[in-house]
Amino acid sequence: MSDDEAFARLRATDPAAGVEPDVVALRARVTALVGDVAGPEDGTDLGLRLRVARLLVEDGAQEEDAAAAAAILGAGGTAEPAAGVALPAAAAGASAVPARRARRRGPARWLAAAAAVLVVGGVTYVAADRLGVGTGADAPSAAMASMAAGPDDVRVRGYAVEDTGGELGSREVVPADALWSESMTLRAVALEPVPGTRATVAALARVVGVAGDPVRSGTVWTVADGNGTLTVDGTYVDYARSGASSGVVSSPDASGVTARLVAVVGAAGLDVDGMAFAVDSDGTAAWTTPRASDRAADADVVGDGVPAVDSWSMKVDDDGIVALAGTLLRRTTTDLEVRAVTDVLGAGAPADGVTLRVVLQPDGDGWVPVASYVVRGPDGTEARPAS
Amino acid sequence: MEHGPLWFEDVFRRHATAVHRYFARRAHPGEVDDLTAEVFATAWRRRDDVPDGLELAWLYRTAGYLLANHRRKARPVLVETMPVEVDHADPQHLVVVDDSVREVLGRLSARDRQVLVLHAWEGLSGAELGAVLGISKGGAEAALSRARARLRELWAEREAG
Repeated sequence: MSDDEAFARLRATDPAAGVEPDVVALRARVTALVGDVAGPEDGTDLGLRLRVARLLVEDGAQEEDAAAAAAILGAGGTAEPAAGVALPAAAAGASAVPARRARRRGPARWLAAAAAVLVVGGVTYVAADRLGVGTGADAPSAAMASMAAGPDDVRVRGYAVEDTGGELGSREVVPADALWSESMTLRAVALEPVPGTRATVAALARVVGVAGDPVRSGTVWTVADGNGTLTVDGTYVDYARSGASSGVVSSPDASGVTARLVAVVGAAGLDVDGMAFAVDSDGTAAWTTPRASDRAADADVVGDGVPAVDSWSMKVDDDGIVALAGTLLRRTTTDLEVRAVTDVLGAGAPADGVTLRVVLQPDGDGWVPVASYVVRGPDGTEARPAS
Repeated sequence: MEHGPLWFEDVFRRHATAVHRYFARRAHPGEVDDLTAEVFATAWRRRDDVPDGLELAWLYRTAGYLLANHRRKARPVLVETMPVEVDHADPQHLVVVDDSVREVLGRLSARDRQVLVLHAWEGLSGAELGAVLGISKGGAEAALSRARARLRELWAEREAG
C-alpha cells in the first residue's frame, strides 16, 4: 500500500466524519460557563449583544434559537439550559428573585426582554417584563431605548405577518442599501410558530418571572405558578400576575395610588407631566389623556391608512409594570419587528443607533400607543419609518 | 484584532464544529459537548493569549491539554490548573472502526499517532500543526513526514505478514 493509500485509509476512519454539533446548544453551554461575553449590561452594548445573537440566528439553529439568543442578549437567565448544564448561580439567583432583578435592571435589560417577546408576538407588540418602579438613573425606560443600527432603507419582502398564530417561517430581507450587497434570509427566531417552541415559551416565562414548565393545549402554551400565569397563543402573549390588577392600581389610599401610578407610568418612559391622573372612589386610579402630544411627531401611524390599534394595556403590581402590551398598526409593527431584528443586527451598519419608541398618538378623542423608531446616522441625520 | 466579544463569537462560529469533532474522536460521546464548551470558555478567559491566525491551533492545543487532564482526573478541569505534562496515551485509536487502521495506529508511537491523526482528521499541517504540537513549522513538517513514513512501513509489514 502506498503512502497516499495508507493515509487515505486512515483518513477514512475518521470517527467524527459527518458529526455535526448543535452549535447553539454548545454556545449556550459556553455562556453557562463564562456568562455573557458581550459585557456589562449597562445599555451601551446592546447592539453588540444583538449582533452576537445574530450569529446564532444566521447559523440556522432550530428550536433552541430563542433561548440561546435570549441568553446572549442577557435577558436575565431566560435561556433554557442544555440538558445536564446548570445555569450559573448568578443567573439562577436572578431568576429566583425577579423583583430584585427588576429593580436593578436598566433599559438594556428591558429592551433585551422586549426583543425576546417582540419577535414571538407577531403583529402584537408586547413588551412584557417586570419594570421596576424607580426614578432617575435607576428608572428603566419602557418607551425608549437605543441600539446600534443598520441603514434605514431596507426593503422587506415576504408575506405579511398575520395574527393567526400560523406558520410564519422566515423572511427574506432584501437590503436596498449598497452596504448590504446581497440578500439574506433571516430566521426570525421569534416568528417561528409559537406552539413549536417550548424553549421560547420557557424563556418568556423566565423573563416575566413565572416558574414552571410550559404546558401546551392546542395552540396555546401556558406557564403558571403561584405568582402568575403566562399565556402564549400564536402571536399573542399575555401575562397576568396573581393578585395584580390589570391596567389599574387599586388602593384606598388615593394619594398613594396616584403616586404609584405616576411612578409606573414614568418608569414606562412616558411624560407624566403631560398626563392627567385620576382616582375613582373605589381607589382605582388610571392615567388618562395627555395634554401634550409632541411625541406624535415621531410616530408613524399612517401605515396603509388603516388604524389598526385595537388594544393597549399596562399591567402593574406592587413591583411595578409587569406588562405593556398594545396591538399596533400592522405595518408599523411589521417594520419595527424586522428592523429590530435586521437593522439592529445588520453587519457594518453605518448608523449610530436606532431609537425605538412607544408613543401616544391622538385618535379621535382618545390616544393610542404606536411604535416608532428613529435611526440616527453618523452625520447626525435622522431617518424615520416611511409611511 | 481586538479579542473582544465579536472576535470570540467569530472564533466560536468558525471553529466550534472542528473542536467538537476533535473531542468526538477522542472522548466519550456524553462528554463531548462539555469538553468543547470548556475549550471555548478557556479561550474566552485566556483570549489575550490566543494568537491571531492560529486560533484553531490554539483551540486544539487547549483541547489536548483539557482532554489529557480530563482523562487523568475523570472530570473537566480548567486549563489554569492543568499539569504541564500531557498524557499522550491517547485511546483515540480504540474508536477507529477499521480494524486494520486501529491495529496500525496501535503500533505507532504516541507522538506519531498524534501527528498523523491531527493531520488526517483535523486537517492540520505546517504552522498550525506545529502550533498544536508546540514545535516549529519545520519541526512539524519533519514530524509529519516521519510519521507518514512509519505509517507506510507498518502498513507494508501488516500486508506482508
